[in-house]
Parts: sequence; structure tokens; C-alpha cells
Amino acid sequence: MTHSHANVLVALTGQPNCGKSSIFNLLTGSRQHVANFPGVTVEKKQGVYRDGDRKIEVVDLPGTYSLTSYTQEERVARDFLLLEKPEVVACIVDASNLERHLYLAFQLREMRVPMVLCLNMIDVAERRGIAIDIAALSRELGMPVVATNARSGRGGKELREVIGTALGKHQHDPGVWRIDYGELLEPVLEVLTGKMAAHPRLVEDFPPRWLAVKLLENDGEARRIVLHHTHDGSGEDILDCADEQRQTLLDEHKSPPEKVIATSRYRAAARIATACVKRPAQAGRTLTDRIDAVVLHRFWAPVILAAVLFTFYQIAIGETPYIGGTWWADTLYPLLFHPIKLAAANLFTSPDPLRTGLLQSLVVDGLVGGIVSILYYVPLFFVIFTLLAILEDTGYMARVAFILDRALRWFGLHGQSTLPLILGGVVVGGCCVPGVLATRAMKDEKARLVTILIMPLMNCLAKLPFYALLVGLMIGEGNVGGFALNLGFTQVGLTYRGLALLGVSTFSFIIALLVAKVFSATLVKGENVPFVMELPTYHLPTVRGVLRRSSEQVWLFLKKIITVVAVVQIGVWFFVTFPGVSPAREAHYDRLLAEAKTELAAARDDETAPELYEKKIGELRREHNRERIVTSYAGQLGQALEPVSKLAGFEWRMNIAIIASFAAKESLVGTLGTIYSVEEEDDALAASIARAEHGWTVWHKLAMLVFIALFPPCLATIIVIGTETRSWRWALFATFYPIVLGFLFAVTIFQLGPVLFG
Amino acid sequence: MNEHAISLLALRSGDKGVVIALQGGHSFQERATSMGLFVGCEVVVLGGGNGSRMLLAVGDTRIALGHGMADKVLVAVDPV
Repeated sequence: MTHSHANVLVALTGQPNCGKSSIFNLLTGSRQHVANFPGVTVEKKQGVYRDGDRKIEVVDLPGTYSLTSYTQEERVARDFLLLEKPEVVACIVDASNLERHLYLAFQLREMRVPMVLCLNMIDVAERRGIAIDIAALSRELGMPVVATNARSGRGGKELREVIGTALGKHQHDPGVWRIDYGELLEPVLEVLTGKMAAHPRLVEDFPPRWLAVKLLENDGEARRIVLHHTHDGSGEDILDCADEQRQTLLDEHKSPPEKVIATSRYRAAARIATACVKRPAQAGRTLTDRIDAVVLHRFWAPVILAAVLFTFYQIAIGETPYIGGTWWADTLYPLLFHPIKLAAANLFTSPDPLRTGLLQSLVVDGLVGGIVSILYYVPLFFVIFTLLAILEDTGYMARVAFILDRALRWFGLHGQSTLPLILGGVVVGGCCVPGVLATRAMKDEKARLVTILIMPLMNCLAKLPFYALLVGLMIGEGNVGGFALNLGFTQVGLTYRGLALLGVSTFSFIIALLVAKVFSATLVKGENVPFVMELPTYHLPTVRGVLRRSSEQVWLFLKKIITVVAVVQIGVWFFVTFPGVSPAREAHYDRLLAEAKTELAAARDDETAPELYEKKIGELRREHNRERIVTSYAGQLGQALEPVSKLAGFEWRMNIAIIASFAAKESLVGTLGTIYSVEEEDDALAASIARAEHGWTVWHKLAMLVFIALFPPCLATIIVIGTETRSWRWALFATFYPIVLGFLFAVTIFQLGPVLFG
Repeated sequence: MNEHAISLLALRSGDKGVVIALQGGHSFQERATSMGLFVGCEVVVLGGGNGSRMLLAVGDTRIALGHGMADKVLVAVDPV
């Protein structure tokens, strides 16, 4: 990274739940962007603000409790501090929880980075009657301290001033400040730093005392630093000495250095807190505790969770005007996105009533059509992301993980798998892409991989039209016993279709859980991380905070998807378009077209003639379209696969639709419509399929339903799985196992169903 | 203070104890410690127990702990 002279780099650090993002927003306003740290899936937020003639570039480092090298976030944060050398590091701490948050501040202090301390959420502390002596704290820590409440904007100006002053000083801390690690460790640290002093390359770049502490903690990264920055052999010498001392401490004093170090830090934190913080006598149960007494109650917890999830779905994929995600999608589509498609179509005029030109079909059907069909979902995602941001900002999401962890863990998942799976579509109506992205929050790498791998089995929104089509073919419409409940704002009807959809999603969820169990027991290696998590204090989310988060997420999703979809759509378009209808057949169509034209010309006086002509042309166009797909590469493949797919009852028509839907499942029903030569209207398609396939039994349909429920992910999902697991092998695996699994289920149903149930 | 160490699991809602050892693996120790659950700190059990997840108060922090992990936290309680 290079910085022009006017630019200075400031890093924000802090433990989780310290309000760091709010501070970041307070400093940079809307001038920010999100990317990933190189090579890892940790988000890197960057922004800028002006201070006089200086441009201050702010990097928001991931929230970490500590700075070891055990987790990705901690490694990223530490590497950034060591390698990028920000000119000021602002450490954000929760003022109401100072003692614990100082733990990270101490470690930064030991790295001797130029620091300022930001006492955030000072209002919460004040409300609890906690008084902090800022001047005393600043003296104790040897760094400027400023109190803020980022949510209300309080202290923003002061924070900028303090950062500005710290920038002006331009000097690293002389290293007088230190934590006393006690009579056991101090002599050892003395020996180690003494040895390091002989290596100027080492001690110029890295504070020796910090390195010595890290070596005693047996930190892999610190060992590498020592080896890389010393001459041959002498680094080994330092490491050997550290190992020897570690062993002595373990054997003779029975005290692991890590523990002594951690306890010393906490003792220092407690001492500073006693000196600088006055708190009222134990406040007793806080409001959060009183809420948790109900929300985490043995009996009420599942009831409340079910109610919250039900409401979530009613809103997320509901059709309630101005609230429901589907309502927004349906309302905005004709206003915003459909015109894009029309505009693209209007760019071309085709003289041929039967055929669309190659460029036209590439641009309109392939590229624009594909992107527009994804854009349809954007309002829906916005609603879903907004709801999730609310759930997270209030602090409820952490409780969900807590409540469900035990059940999910049995299947090799984690409490934190809940959110990604909900996004992916536990109940009909999710999307795997944000689902996979949401697994980033999971600390447990093994459970994360398992969660990602079962994501394709979730019920994404795009499977919905196909479910509806098949269920309609199978059992028709209507409410169960005419049951319908009018809740005023929305009507809840227990329809056969609704029940069948619930059945499909329950089925696929059960399969997904079993698959997770098998994967975590066999394929996926690694240890499950024990369940320890902090439950944050309940907060009222702010409108601005929530909207900012959800728009950020939608934007990230769009950026990731649009390019990928464009490329993939072109590929699929190629396979369903080429090699094209044979010249002999084209001549045949031309003849029919000419005949129709002659008829129209002959019957000039007949008023019904133009209408008849239009109808005839329409039929011809559909017939031509159908032949184009059937003879295409995709069509040929579909027919070639028929001997195998026949085992599950699938005929070549179905195979073609499945192959073509690989890019995006939205196109499944559309392709079927083309093959069965109908316009894209669900009922007409159902009727036309029923006519063409009167041989289909309920087992045909059930086998298809199950196959699609366990259908391989769309290409966008595969690509996201590849980038998130950073392994194309897993991405390929996630593509092919659902095909095998789904096919086995379909074959079983199709072959055994009629035998067992007649 | 009673020096006899008992597992955190033995505590009931409302009980207080002082952590005297964390027995889990390294990653557990690290995570617990960094959240403020460390040797020498006082914990109050807010809920759970009886084989389910435990909810603890350590100072102003609320920590949820799995059953297996709670078993590995040894505490000393004041004699009744």
C-alpha cells in the first residue's frame, strides 16, 4: 500500500461490542468503502476525513479480544499494525466495561504503537453511575484519553483533535510504560531482551519486550519474526533460550507462562480501574438480565424464538404492502428493473418474425435478462438484511445462537450457523449467496465449513416457482378444509400448497442436518471450538445504523454477483443456443412463414385474418424456439442423459430444463415453458405439461420435487463457496454431492414408491 | 474461603464463585480469558445449569458457556 505525503494512516482497534463501527462512521461519515484484507475473508473497512490540509485515512481493524495468532481476525489486525505501521492507533474501549477492555489496550501498548484511547459508550457508563477520572487514566496509561458516545455523535470533535495532536508528535513511545509480569517472568524477559539487543535489525522494527512476552506465550508468528530478522543461527539461539525458560516455568513452578501473563494483565487492569473508576455498589440485576430471564428461559426461549422467526418470514417474504419483501420486489420490479430489459429489447428491431438475431438474443435474453432476474431480488434482500441488522443490533442474534447451539452442535453445526441457514432458506425463501457470506461471523472453522457445505440444500427463492408448479400439478389449489385466518394486516391461509411447501422445506432441512452430521464425522477435519460467547447488552438499534448496515450488505452482494452472473449467463446462453436449428429445418420454417404470409395477403377482406396470422406466427415462433433448445448442446446432453435419468423417471425435457437452470434456478420454469411451447404463465404451463405428460404418475412428480429440493447450487453460489472456503475442491464437492444425493433419492422414490404403495 | 474446587456446573442460578482454574484446551483458555473469565475473577451464575448452557455474569460482561466447557471451569465458593 502506498500513501501520498498528504495522507496519514490511522487504525481503529477494539474488542467486539465496543461500538467501534459507530466510531468509524462518526469519523469518516459516508466516505468509506469495504473490501477484504488480502488473502483472507476478513472485512476491511476504509474511510477518509479531512483535518486541515491533511487527509486522514482510517482503517477499521477487525474487532478482537486479544492480539495472539490463534484467530484469523487477530492475525490480520496484528499484521496490519506491524507491517503497515499506522501513524496513530485509536483503541476503542467500552467505558462501562473498562477493566476488561484494557486487556487489548495493554497489548497494543506493548507493541509500542502510537496510541490514543477512546472511552466509547460513556453515556451507558454514566447512566450506571460509573465515573471515570480521565486525566488519571491518561497518566496511568501514558496516552491521550477521550470520552465519546458515537451513537449520539458526542466526542467526535475531541477525538479528531486528539488524533490530530498525536499525529503531530510523530514519535514512537519510548517504552517506559510496562506491565509488571511478576518475579517469575521478569528475570526471564530480561534475559530474552538482552539477547535480542545484539540484533539491530530485529529491535529496530519490533519492540524487544513485546517479542519476549510473545515468545514466552509460544506464539508462532513471533518465532518467525525472530528467525527472519536475525543472522544465521543466532535466531535459533534466542528461540532455544525461550523454550528452555518456558519449560523451566512449566516444570519447576507449574505455571504456564500464558496464564501468568494473562493474570498479570488483568491485575494491572484491575489496579488501574480501582485508581481511575468509581462505580456504585453492585447494581444488582440490570435491565439486560431481566430481559434475559425471560428470553433465555427454559420454556419461553423456544416460544419467543419461534415467534420471532415466524414474524421474520412473514415480513421477509411476505406480501404485506409497504413491509413485505415480496411486495417490494413485485412493486419495484415493473418500475425499476423491467424497463431495463425493455430498453435493451428496443435497441434491436428484427425483420424476421420467427427468429431473434444472435446479438439480440445474447444481449436481451442472455446478459440483460439474467441480470434483471437477479435484480428482482434486490428489494427482498434489502428487507431481509434490514431485519437481520435489527436482530443483531438489539443483541438478540447472540441469544439465538445461545438457544440453538446445543441442538445444532449435535449435527456438527454451531449456534452461529442459525443466521446463515435462515438466510439460505431453512423455510422456503432464502438465497445461498448471502447465506454463505454470513458464515464469516463464525469463529468455529469446522462448523463453518459444514454450514457452507449444506447451504445448497436450503430452499432458495428461485426454487419456489418450480415447487409451486409441481405441487399445483400434484394436488391442485385450495385451502385445507377452507381454513383461512384473517389477521387484519395479513391473511394466513393453510393451503394445500402451503402445506406441501412446508413439507418440502422440512424434508430438505432434515436431510441437510443429517448430511451435516455425516460430513462433520467423516469428511471435514478439525476440532470443534468450544462454545464460549459473550452476550452483549440489549440496545435499541438506530434507524441510521441499521440502514447503513443493510445497504452495505446489499451493495457487497451486488458487486459480487453481477459480474459473475453476467459471465455465467453468456456461457449458458451459448449452450442453449448453439449449434442452432439445421438449415433444412430452417428452410421448412421459412416455407411455413411464407405460406402464412400468402394466406394473409389472399384474405385481405377478411377482418379476422390479421388476428389469425398473428396467432399462426406466434405458434411458429414457439415451435422454432422449442426446436432450437431441443437441438442445442444442452438439449443433446439432456437426451443423452435420458437412459440414466429415466431411472428416476426424468425424461429429456426435464433434463434440458435442469441443465439450463444451472446458471440461475429462476430459469427452470422459463425453460420448461419454452420446451412445452407455452408462454410463461404458470397455469398455462401446468395445463400444457399435464396434456403432454399424461403418463406422469404422482411418483414422477414427487421424484422431481425431491431432486430439485436437493438440487446443486447455482453458479453464483458455487463461486462464493469457492472464494469463502478458498478451495475450489470444496466448491466442486458442494456442486456434485447434491446431484448424487438428489438423484439417489429420486430413483428410490420413483422405483420403490409404486411397489410399496401401489 | 473453602479451598475445595468444584466444577462451575455444580453451581445453581444465583450462586457466586471465584475461578481458580481453567482446565480446557488452549483455545478455550485464550477465549475465556480474553472475555474476562480468568483465574481470580468472580462469577455469578445467572441461569442455565442442569445440563444445559450456562449464563454467567463476570463483572458487567455476560458470558454464555457450553455444558462441557462449564465443567472445565473450577471455582471456589464461600462456605455456607
